Amino acid sequence: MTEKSRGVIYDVGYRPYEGPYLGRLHALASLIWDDLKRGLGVKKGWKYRAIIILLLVIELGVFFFFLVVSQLGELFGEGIPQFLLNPYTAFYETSTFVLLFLSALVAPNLLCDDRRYRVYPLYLARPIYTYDYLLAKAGAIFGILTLVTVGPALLLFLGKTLLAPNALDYLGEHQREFWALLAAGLLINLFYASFAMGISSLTTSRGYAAGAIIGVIFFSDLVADLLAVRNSWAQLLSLNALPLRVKDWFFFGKLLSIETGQGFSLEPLSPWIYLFATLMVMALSWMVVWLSYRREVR
Amino acid sequence: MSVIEVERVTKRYGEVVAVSDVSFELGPGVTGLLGPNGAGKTTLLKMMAGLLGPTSGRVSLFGQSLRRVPQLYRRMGYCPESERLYEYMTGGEFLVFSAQLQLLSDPENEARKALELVNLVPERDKKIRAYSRGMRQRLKVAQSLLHDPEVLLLDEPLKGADPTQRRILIDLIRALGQRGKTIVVSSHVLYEVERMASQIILIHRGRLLAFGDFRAIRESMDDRPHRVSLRVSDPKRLAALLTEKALVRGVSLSGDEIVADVSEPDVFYGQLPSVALEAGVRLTQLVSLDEDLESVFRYLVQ
Repeated sequence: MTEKSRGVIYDVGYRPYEGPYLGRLHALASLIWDDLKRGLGVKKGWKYRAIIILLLVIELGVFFFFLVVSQLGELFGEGIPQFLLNPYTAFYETSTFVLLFLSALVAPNLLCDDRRYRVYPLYLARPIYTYDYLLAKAGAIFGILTLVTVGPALLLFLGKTLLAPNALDYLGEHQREFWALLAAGLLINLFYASFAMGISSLTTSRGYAAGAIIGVIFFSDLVADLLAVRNSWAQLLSLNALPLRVKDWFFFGKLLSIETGQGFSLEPLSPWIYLFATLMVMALSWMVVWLSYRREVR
Repeated sequence: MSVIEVERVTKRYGEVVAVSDVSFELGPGVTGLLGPNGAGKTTLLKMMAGLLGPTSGRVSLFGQSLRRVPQLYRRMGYCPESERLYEYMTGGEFLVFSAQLQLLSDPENEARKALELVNLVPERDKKIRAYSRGMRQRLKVAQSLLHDPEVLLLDEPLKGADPTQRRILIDLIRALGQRGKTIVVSSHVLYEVERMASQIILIHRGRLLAFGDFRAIRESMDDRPHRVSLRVSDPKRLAALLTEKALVRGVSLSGDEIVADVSEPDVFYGQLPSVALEAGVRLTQLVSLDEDLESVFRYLVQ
């Protein structure tokens, strides 16, 4: 290189950036959009996509089951359990299986790989905050859970409305149930998204994280069932049941007695205790996420 | 004010001390970060990039901490060592996404310019998982340059690149340095660092061994003989005279070549012409064997 050519950037095609900068929300939106695509498996292998589609199909099956059974129940009335006649409270109880497996699939996929392959510096060496990165992950997981579970729940409401003798009357009479269905779904999804993120932030292995998410929920249910023969407090150990109890009380205005499955029927605890326990699990999950990332990233 | 300040920085992982009490200040130009594997280069670069917090000490960019002011990343580009990128994206998508995270107003256009810069336009629509190591390196460098940062931290940017791409990247880094950017390049390929950087940071086992112009560092190593190669018409006669006048500590002969260990280079170079005249020999070549970076590195690390 001659003295004359030294320092001439355009020799190698370098052109400086001269445009304006956008706000942080644009970066957050890009992160969420990218994570939504990743979480839904848009660019992943067919196996991952097949599981997502299978879970969506199951959830649509739940929607279809409740729609048909509740309509048949209205036609034939007698002997049909009450929860089938008004399926909104039962919809999410049946959906927790799908929620659990979906959160165990999506959260590890979005969190573990970034740390395992050490690509998060590429995200974080940018003019954004660590919590933007984590918020985007949470937003994408929550968005996918909502799409797969709240979507069919709202379809159920729409179906019931359209099949009612007078759709407008039905809408007017069940307006409160519509909002309850929406809000309860969001709360339950927030619970599962937080819990799945908390577990996923503890390991770089997708398999371990997914196993732990499913395992902890099942194990907590099992322990609660074993201990709750005569003690209502032990039901608090069932992580799965906590947001469902809040849903029953807070959004649908009733708190059912607890059937232990061994011939006992326990009185439910104060609804505030269920709400407190639910919020505590979410807060604890977020604390775990924050502590896990605090050491490695700014 | 220095662009980058590293002040008494230590980084521990439990009992392991990755970086120990390192201090230096950097201004515009290219600085080579050197050290053997496991010396702490990547840890130090990550702390400079604000991606790792020091256990003690302070790292600042333009007088501010990157860990507290992420807006500073508009002024800094970071190229990590890891070869893994977002494998599910194409090269073009990766750069557009990076430009979006960098908050640039026209990500598509900036991505296209960056691809041109590193000669990756033909690979734009290919999935990153199908990229070779060299292509990944070029893509990583491209993403660090998207927003024209004033400071560039490049961790092993030449690893895996083919000779042509190495030359292009070296020319680019050197040109950016001459343009007034502050660039830190870590590498273990010494001759490449020598081509890019005049200043070095040499670390070993987490400790700072040397910092500054490597030629000046070499000159300051007075306790170690400088090795000089001479080709002369009568090597035995010149070697005898140099030894007699105590201008060398030792000599070895091979054909018409003398390799001399010189303890006082200034005196040696000053008196050599007259000694050659006195010996009646013709001096055809005089080469310093350890003025290069590799000699400095080898000596300091050993």
